[in-house]
Amino acid sequence: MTFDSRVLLAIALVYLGVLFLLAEATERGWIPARVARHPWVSALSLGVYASTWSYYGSVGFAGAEGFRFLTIYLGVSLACLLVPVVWLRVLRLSRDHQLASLADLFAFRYRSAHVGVAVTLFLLAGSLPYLAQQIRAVAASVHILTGEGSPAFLGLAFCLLVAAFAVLFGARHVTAREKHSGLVMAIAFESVMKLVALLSVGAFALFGVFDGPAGLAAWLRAHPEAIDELYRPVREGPWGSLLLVSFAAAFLLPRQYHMAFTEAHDERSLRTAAWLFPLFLLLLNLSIPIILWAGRVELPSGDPDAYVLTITLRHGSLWLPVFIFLGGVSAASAMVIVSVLALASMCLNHLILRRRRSAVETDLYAFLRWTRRLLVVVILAAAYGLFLVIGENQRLVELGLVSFVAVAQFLPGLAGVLFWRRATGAAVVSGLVVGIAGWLLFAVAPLLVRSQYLHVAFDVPAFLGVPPVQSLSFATFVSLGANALVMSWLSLRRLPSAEEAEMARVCIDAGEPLPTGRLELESPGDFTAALAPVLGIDVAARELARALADTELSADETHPAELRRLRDQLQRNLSGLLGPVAAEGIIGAGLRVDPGARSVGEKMRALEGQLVASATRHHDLAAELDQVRRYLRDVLEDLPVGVCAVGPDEDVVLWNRAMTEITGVADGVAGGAIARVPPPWGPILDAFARDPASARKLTAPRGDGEPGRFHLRKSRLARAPGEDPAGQVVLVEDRTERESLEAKLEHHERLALIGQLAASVAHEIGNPLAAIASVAQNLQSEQRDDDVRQRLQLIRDQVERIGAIVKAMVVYSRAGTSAALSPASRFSLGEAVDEAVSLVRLDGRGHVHLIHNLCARDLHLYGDRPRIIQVFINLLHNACDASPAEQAIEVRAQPGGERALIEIVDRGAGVAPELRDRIFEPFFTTKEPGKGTGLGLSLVYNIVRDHAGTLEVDSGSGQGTTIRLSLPMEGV
Amino acid sequence: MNSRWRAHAWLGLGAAALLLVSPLKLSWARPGLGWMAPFGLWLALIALGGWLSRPRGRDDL
Repeated sequence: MTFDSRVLLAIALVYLGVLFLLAEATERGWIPARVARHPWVSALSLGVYASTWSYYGSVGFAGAEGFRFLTIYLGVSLACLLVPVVWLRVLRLSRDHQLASLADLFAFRYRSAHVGVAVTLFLLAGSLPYLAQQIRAVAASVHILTGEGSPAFLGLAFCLLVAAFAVLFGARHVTAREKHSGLVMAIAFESVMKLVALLSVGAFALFGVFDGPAGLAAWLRAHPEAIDELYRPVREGPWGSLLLVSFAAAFLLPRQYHMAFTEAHDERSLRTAAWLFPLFLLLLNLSIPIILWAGRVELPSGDPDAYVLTITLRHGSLWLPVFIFLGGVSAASAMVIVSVLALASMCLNHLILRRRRSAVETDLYAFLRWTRRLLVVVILAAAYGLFLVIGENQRLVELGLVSFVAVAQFLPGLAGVLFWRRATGAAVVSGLVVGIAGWLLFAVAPLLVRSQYLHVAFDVPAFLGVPPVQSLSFATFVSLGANALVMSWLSLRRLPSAEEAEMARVCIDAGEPLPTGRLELESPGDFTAALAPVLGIDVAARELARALADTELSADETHPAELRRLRDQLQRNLSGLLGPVAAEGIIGAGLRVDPGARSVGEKMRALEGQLVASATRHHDLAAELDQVRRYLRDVLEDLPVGVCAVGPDEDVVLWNRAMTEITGVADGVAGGAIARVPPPWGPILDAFARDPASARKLTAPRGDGEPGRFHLRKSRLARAPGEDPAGQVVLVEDRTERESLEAKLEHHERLALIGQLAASVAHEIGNPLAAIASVAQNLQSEQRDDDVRQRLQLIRDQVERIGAIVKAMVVYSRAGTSAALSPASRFSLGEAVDEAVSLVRLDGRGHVHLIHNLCARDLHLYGDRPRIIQVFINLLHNACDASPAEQAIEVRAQPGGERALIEIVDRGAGVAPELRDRIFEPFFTTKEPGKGTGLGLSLVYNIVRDHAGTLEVDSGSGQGTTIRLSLPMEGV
Repeated sequence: MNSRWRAHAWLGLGAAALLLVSPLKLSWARPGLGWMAPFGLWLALIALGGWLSRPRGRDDL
């Protein structure tokens, strides 16, 4: 049976059109994101591994080498066992640093543009023959079905179609962070298509040729050599080398890396792929032995590589061969599309952009997009050219295996990326060169000899007596072994550079790069100006805006540590756009860092942050050290004294919790210059740091805004003799409360002294005063002259007045002594206030004022009742004296826990603020001379103090006065 | 990821490689077991891979 080539081409076009529609529907969101981003879709897209080699060539491979054909897939299963330790780590590095390819990853780790170039060139060299074979397989399948058609024309048509798909759906976005979900969906669909097609062929072979499982079993019993032929190569031939190269190919082939890491959304996809990907391959290969045997039965002299198609042609079915053909197109197109996209990205980043661009492009994004598309076309054209050269001379399997040996050369370099700190870029490049040289000599050359492109003398393995069946194993182990040896030897000979060591830490320990100097720019605006000459003003502004959004920083940010973070994010974003080499060059030149400036504060902050966030458990000594570090850190943080450590470059290295509470400035100042701490504390600390004096007292605002008194002390951090100081430590002690207590104590002592003085004076004056009063009284009783009697009365009045003052002084001096105290008792507050009001009204002052007792009747106090009443009398007297006539005076009280909270409120003249602190001093009065002794409020103060109460005054000139008392309601 | 998980992965790889590459392969590469024996072994490897890659904590989900 044959088909019309135009019909077949139309069917292929329709199929590819379906793929186009599927990809477009995914990109536009017509297919829900939860479907497009499902882990199964991503895992199935890894089925791009199965090219036409798997689809057609596995049968031929099984026919020639039995179950060895499974090694190509068992190696993948072995690789999937390491998803948690290898694949996930590569994914995190690719995602965190926006690395789009294996070349990007190597260039990033080894800080070498040469490494990126070497990887790109070697992968290109290793992939082109494989790409050519896919074109050949599609052309051959058309020829099998139609018996006609120029392979060159068919190959060209196929290349044009896949180029269009790759350009439209694989090169839409310019950065690694934007995923091509349409491409992933299309590739996953093609994987399912391949699987269904091969299973269909297998089912056809089982039921169409053998009449079901029973028929197959009967045939196998009749032909036991069929199974034996499958197992013999496993028992007798080399097996390990194929497992090794397919292990490497599983994630190092450009198409595998692209789907597994560049287009992956999250880690869930890889965890699913760890079992779904090899399961897919198992199902894909389950039919291979059956197809092989069916082919042996139906077409014993046919080409086993074509059995997948040819056995279906013999039974007259129309749709099955076409369906199988489409499966082959799926296998070829998926492999070619993804490989070409991955190679184009590498070529763009490492061959075209590796040189710093001195001219500003009008639109960098358009340049990148169109250059990538152009590279897709160029690479496909090269593969097509190679296809025309190679023709029909090689089996599909052989070129595929040779490509796998090339890809395996990157295993030593990958081990250095993920596990070995000593690996250097120069060693990796040297190892690669040796490995690829071995690959060319021992794998490629023999292939070309067999294809009669080279003289037989170039077949070195044959010259060395290596059997043909072992030549690939020989090539693998010799080239890879030499590669690993050279890389190891050179890495051990020379220590890694500081940059390589730092990148090793970033890759192996999953850390962030540590700051190594001070940024020379001071604001995000400066960033745009610095990058504009290379990127163009528009692109520079857009990239800066993107980095600001990623880091959640504002355009006004000036903190050095935050600007460093912004710089690092910019570099990551540019790495996704231009590759790590170009990104580092642009950022390094435009956003310069002064490596000579030691930013101790930034380093400490970065290290501390990484130690706290590190997912790596510390072991043994590192664990002990980390515990000690945390303990010392806690001690510093919890000190009740503010500690600010300033580095030698005047950066704040440490700012503890007490410092934040004292100053109100948050911990975020650490890492920045001391002079940049917000005022007033920034200027204060900066001036103190420069002051030769090591101690100072000052008044400054506290964290709550109130003024406080502070003692500042500092000391220099000493190093070894002859070395510069390592900075200084400033201690800030809040003395506000202490000095306030000292002032109160001084006040109390002064009052006590006055009390003692009052007692002495009263004692000395009393006796002479009594004598004067007695003589004046006698004289008055003896005199008849009214004028004399009046003058004597005046003397007696003044003596009485002096006596009252002396009595008040005696009462004041005795306040708090046992002689003045009555037994404490429980009494009604309301009744005590009523009594005080009555007594105040008795002397006339209370009659012209309205005194309201608003105390609750059920409130009781505990204390010396007469003295408490004296307190109310004195306070009411003052309120009456301060208030105009007819003005209301209120006494209010309410319970407050175990105390009664009492207020005496008047709306009189009030007390000026500057006098408020003095009103309780003995003999202090604002009244006219002769109107008061100045002891009333002092007495109130003492009595309230004796009852363990509190006394507050709330008053202002012309605003009235509220006296607040708290007195106990129960005995202590 | 802690070191125990890493050890599990490497041990799993080592055991699988041993079964496939060392003379142990003669235990399963026998015609008497039928032609599907390698696929059964392969299925066991897939199950091992799935077990090693399972999420182990909230951070792995």
